[in-house]
Amino acid sequence: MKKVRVLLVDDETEFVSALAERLSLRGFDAETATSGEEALGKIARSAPDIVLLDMLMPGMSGSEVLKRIKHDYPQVRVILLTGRGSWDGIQGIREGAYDCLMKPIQIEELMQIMASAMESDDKTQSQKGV
Amino acid sequence: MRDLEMAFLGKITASMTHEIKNTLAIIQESSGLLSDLITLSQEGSFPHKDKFLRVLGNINDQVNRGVDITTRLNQFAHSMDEPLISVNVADLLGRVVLLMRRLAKRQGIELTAEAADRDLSLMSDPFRLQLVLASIIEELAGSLGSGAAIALQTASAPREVTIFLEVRGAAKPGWQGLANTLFPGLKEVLEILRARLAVSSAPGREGVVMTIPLPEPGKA
Repeated sequence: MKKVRVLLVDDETEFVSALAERLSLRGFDAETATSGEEALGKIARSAPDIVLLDMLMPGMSGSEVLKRIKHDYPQVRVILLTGRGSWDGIQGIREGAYDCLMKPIQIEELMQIMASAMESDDKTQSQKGV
Repeated sequence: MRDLEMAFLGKITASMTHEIKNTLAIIQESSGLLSDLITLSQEGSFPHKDKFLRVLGNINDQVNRGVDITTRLNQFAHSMDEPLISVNVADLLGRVVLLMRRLAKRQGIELTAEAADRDLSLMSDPFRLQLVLASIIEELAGSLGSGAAIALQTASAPREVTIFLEVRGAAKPGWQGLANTLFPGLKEVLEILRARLAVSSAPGREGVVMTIPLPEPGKA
């Protein structure tokens, strides 16, 4: 069975590396990026199924990265991570994010949201070009 | 403190709480990873496995506690952003209790929020409301004996919102003197809030009452 590919994007290196290992232990193919620019480069080479994206990063913001992903790779599900507050999440979902989680995240909740993202009808529609 | 200075203080505090949350997130994921690895280890291959998992569980609990505190601190910081917004009274009381709990606990006072109406709200200045409530709690805590409690309660009437800081248990004689010592110092803030304070000495209903009039319909 094909592994779900997840790209974790956050400038906190220790956070993404620990979370990536936890996701790998749960059967995901997890990769990391520590900036928006690095993330877009990795997506261009091989688009993942899901991007976990921090909203507040130096350089390109999470919001800018989200817009670029939704424009160039609409099939990719983006789940936002924010430590600031629910307003970031609401804005992000308006801009096309699948969902938003407050940091620190609960791994069980993240698992549920990723499973739901993979099952969503939207993805099927995107793949059909609807 | 002027509004510009308060907004600056709020902005810096909000930024710092965001950084603290990032730190807590790293601790949580690192301890979570350790927990995952120990759980996956073969039976008998990891000495003191249960003890390690228990300690990692404690770390996780403390991270959650830290998140709760920083979330409230962040909300408090943002309460300085706008001098007039819609304030949910139950949320405000919960935040004040969390922020003041440690100070009260040092004096042996239990602090609780018991809002009867979770949806009660009013247009007001959340920062100044918190300032008044925290000042009363601080003064009351010094006037009560260890083992006493202060319960923050709400009530609403058609034209006003009432916040009652009920004193339960051992109050030192003369605690009502705060009406003379504390209230005058809050006069300016109370005028901005258009609120008034009163001491209630009714048996079984002792405490401080803060009343905030609501605008008449059609008036700002």
